[in-house]
Amino acid sequence: MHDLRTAAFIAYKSILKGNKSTFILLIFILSLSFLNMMFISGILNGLENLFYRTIINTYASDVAVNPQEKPELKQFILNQNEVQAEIQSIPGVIATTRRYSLAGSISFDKDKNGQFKNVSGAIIGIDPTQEQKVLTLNNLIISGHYLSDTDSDQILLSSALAGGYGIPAPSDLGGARVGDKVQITYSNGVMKTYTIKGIYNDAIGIFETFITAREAESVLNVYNSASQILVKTDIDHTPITTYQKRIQQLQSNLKIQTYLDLLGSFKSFLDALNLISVIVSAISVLVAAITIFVIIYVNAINKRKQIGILKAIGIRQTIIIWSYIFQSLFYALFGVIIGSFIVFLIITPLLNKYPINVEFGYLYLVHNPITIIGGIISMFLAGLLAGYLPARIVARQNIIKAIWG
Amino acid sequence: MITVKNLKKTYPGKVPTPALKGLSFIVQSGEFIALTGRSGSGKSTLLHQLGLLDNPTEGNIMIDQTDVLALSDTKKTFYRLTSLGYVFQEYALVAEFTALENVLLPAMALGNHNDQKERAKELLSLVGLEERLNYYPNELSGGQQQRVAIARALINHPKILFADEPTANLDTASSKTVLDIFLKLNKEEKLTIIMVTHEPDYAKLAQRNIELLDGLIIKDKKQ
Ligand SMILES: Nc1ncnc2c1ncn2[C@@H]1O[C@H](COP(=O)(O)OP(=O)(O)O)[C@@H](O)[C@H]1O
Ligand SMILES: [Mg+2]
Repeated sequence: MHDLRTAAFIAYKSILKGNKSTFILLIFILSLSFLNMMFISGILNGLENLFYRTIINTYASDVAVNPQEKPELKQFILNQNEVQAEIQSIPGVIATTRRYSLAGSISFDKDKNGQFKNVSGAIIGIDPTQEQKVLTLNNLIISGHYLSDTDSDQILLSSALAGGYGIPAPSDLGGARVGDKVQITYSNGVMKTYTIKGIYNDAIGIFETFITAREAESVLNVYNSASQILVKTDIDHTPITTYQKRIQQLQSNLKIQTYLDLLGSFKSFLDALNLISVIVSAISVLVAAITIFVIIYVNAINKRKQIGILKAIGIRQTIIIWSYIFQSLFYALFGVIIGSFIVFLIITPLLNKYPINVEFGYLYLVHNPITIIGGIISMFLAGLLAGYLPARIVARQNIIKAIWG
Repeated sequence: MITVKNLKKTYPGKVPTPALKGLSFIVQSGEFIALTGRSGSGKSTLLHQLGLLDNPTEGNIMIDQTDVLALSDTKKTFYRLTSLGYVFQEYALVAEFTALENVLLPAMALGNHNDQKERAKELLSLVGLEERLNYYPNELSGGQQQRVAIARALINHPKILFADEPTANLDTASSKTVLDIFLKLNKEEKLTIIMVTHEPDYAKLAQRNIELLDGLIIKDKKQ
């Protein structure tokens, strides 16, 4: 115990009376390392977060209710009005909406010369008013207008499929614009002409074309059905799986999925983000560790004579090593404090106020406790190791060599 | 009492250097010994072996019935801390510590920090530095630093004080002060002192003079 006290005292005095510019340089590099680590992981977390938000808001919603799969596969949810009403009665459910999924190919003759461009893809029938309460499609209109419940020969087109908006798609219509007429041939053979009422910003590339549910019913020749019911919930207070279970209890034969189940195709993208975050953090920690190591080592080498004398007068090697560990832990602590100050009190609030505008939304720094604690722990581990190793190398030297050699 | 038997030290190397070639002698408690001899005769080497700073090649050292060479490294370190005192030629103080903190350091390592504060102050006034307690080494003259080192060597009540040319870097007046302190400690505290010196005048102040040449004792006389 008094060994540690003695070591702490030596460390304290060494820092207090030691070289000020070395100290400042060290703290500067360490706080930059920590800042870098927190900033990068914050940005990547923010990106991931934005991604989830975007997917939930524009595409997946929180919970999706699908038609029965077992014992026999059904195409539609029947009596969708009642199903929606039942789901809406669950506390915490904010809104629901239904959708019809159709497939078809869209053709457009831009120059009216018989040269048609074709794209094929999903055609979705929506209840525009209800849809707005669950997803944000209505906010993404970049040209023209959103659909109304009673529209029948109007569509909303993806900017990627329209072409000319700078968003890549496997193929597009070569520059279709609001007011243009396009032809849709549905997979059941029905063929109709529509006017483009609006074009939405399809930054994440869902490539869906929207018609009203009413129109979909006339194409499919069905009534009061749905291919899917989307549910918006209050997930800040109740976990998503709880809603999934409750809805499943009410609708035991339907298939209930959460947005997490739909993330499959983006999983590798999110995994890549996490990997980048881990790599960048590891490099930051490594840089910090090497910095502390070099400075402590140089410092210890400069003091080998003094270390020899300390050993000669009977100060144990462990005390000497601990004094260096304390010093480097202190540097790490200082770096973390200053780095945290810059990230959490300056950069994060600043970015909250002026978020970075990326194609599909606004990017904020998002920190989660795990990355913060992980960052702090790795800084301290780096400090521990970077203080221990050089001190051990120097303190283990033979006394005679250390003092006179 | 220190009993040295057939002490040999050969420094390894391409050409091994035999620095001590088999020394035997006995030091009684309370003796003040001046160790003299030409440069390279083995004085420092002998002091290092006696002070447990190095391991001799052969031979035996008993200090008060303890076979000190048989102790483990950790026990040797503890023995140095509790029973031996050192004064080196130079650079002996911790630069970041005040005079008082330097003196207290060995006590702190024993866990006696608070009880020993008064003693540390007394020791510093014994060496005439009661006015300089909170000065840092770079604010003290060479002689003053050496006196702090003496006070530090004494804090844990050592049995033996070793000094390797303690006055080599000091002017005459400072050297005189340091020697006076040694004489006083030897006389009043009955402290055993072994001091290496070049100066015949200083050697004469000790009760006994051991002279080395080429790793052997060529003279050992009481004076
Ligand atoms: N660390 C060492 N390695 C090799 N030879 C050494 C070492 N220290 C001293 N010597 C040699 O041992 C001999 C005795 O040296 P030393 O004890 O320092 O003499 P003194 O203190 O009397 O001047 C000298 O020849 C010296 O060169
Ligand atoms: Mg010498």
